[in-house]
Amino acid sequence: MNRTRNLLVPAYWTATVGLFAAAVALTLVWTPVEATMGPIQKIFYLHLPVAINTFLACLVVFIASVGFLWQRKAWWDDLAYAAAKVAVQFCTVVLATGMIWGKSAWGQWWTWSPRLTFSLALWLLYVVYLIVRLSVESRARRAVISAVYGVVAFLDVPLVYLSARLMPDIHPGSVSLAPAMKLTLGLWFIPVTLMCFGMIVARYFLHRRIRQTTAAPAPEINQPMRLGALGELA
Amino acid sequence: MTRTISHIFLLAGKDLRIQARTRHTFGLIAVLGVLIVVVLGLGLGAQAEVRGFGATAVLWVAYLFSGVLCFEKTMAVERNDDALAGLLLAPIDRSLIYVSKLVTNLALMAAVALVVTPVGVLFFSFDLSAAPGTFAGIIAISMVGFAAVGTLFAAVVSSSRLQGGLLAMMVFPITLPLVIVSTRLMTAVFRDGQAVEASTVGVLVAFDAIFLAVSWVVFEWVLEV
Amino acid sequence: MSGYLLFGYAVGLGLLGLFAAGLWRASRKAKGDLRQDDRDGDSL
Repeated sequence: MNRTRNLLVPAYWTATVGLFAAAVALTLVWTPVEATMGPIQKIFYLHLPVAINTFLACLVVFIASVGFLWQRKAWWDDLAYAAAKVAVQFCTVVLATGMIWGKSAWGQWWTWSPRLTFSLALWLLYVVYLIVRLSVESRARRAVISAVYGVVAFLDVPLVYLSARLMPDIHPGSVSLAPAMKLTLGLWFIPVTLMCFGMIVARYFLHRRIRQTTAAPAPEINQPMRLGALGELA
Repeated sequence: MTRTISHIFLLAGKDLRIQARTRHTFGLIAVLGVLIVVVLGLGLGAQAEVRGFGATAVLWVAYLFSGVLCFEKTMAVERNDDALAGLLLAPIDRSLIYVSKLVTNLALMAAVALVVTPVGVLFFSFDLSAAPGTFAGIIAISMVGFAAVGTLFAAVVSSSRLQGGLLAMMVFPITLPLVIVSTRLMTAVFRDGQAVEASTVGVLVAFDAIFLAVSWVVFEWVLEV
Repeated sequence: MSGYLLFGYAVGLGLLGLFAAGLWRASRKAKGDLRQDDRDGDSL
């Protein structure tokens, strides 16, 4: 099993890096330039897959948070934390590429456009998740508080999306994609999704390892945590 | 059903009666709210661009900060003398604890809004006469959603070793949609003279509905072992 | 304008690479070094 893992993991990441390289090369050399927006539009091929994967990571946080509140098993908490970390990281890339796109296309690093506002709000939602985890010392309470926040935060996302759409959008950017562009986009999705999935899984095992090596005696690991009213460890 | 309602009033009534007698929490949060408006007014109030409907953003800052403090305190009341244990032993549905706290919080927030809003309207020369009912309605709907989330988080975070600012940090990003939608509605109505769009108000109502329901359910899970 | 595109790719992919590198280092540290202060040791 270990030998399979030792082969699989490097192969996985090599493929991911290779696909990224191929995608960049293809986009710069082959993909047609979009008429109205110019070369900078190609940043979209990185921006959109990362944005979608950010959302997927947030979904994982939600599912893991619900799972934890329901079963009170620590591994759900590990997964939620892992996915949240990746969500924030990917959202940082969404923000950065979005801002660079904005600077190039409209001359400003920041506007309160729907897209940027939404990206910022999403970023803040999950950064707060991470800080909540750093702010609570007790392991059991931290897990409960994070889980409750994780559930509420994800349910908030569509509402944030709807409200961000009310922000003034002086520069509407919806374009139809030529087939070559759709192909390029599809190609970019693969390494980005592989990376997102891979990082969540790797982080999950990292958190689990850290928790297991610093935990109290064994019984805590596999049994549901016993919590008193309002979440204190009973 | 009537038993449920009477239980809610019993619990909320207890909290509010304490408030009425001591005016402790209310005094604190009302003064905080006013101070925030004053500080922002000093800094921003003189500028023409911020005058008028800019008051709505300032008011929201005041509501958010005083609201978070309010939620913390109404939950903290139960820490004294193990009052929470007594509550949990009482023969009432546990989710009603959430509802009663929510009612208490809403009552307090309404009282604070009655004090702070006129101050904001005054300092920022916000002309409400165009649509005072709309203004009140939007604020009221937003408050419900705000208190729904805040009450839940305050319950979860309630602890003797509370890290300062934790509750505020959790509440603010979640309630961004309320702030965005209500300020944009105000801008549309008071600056641009447009009618209120039902779909926009719908976002506020959806927020309230979703988070009231979610908080009710999650509260149960958090209180149970 | 192509400059901004290349800058965008550099920043975007660079950040992803940075985060992956951070994760890799944290994994190595967790496997080799099991000190007490590694608990929640990965940075924000």
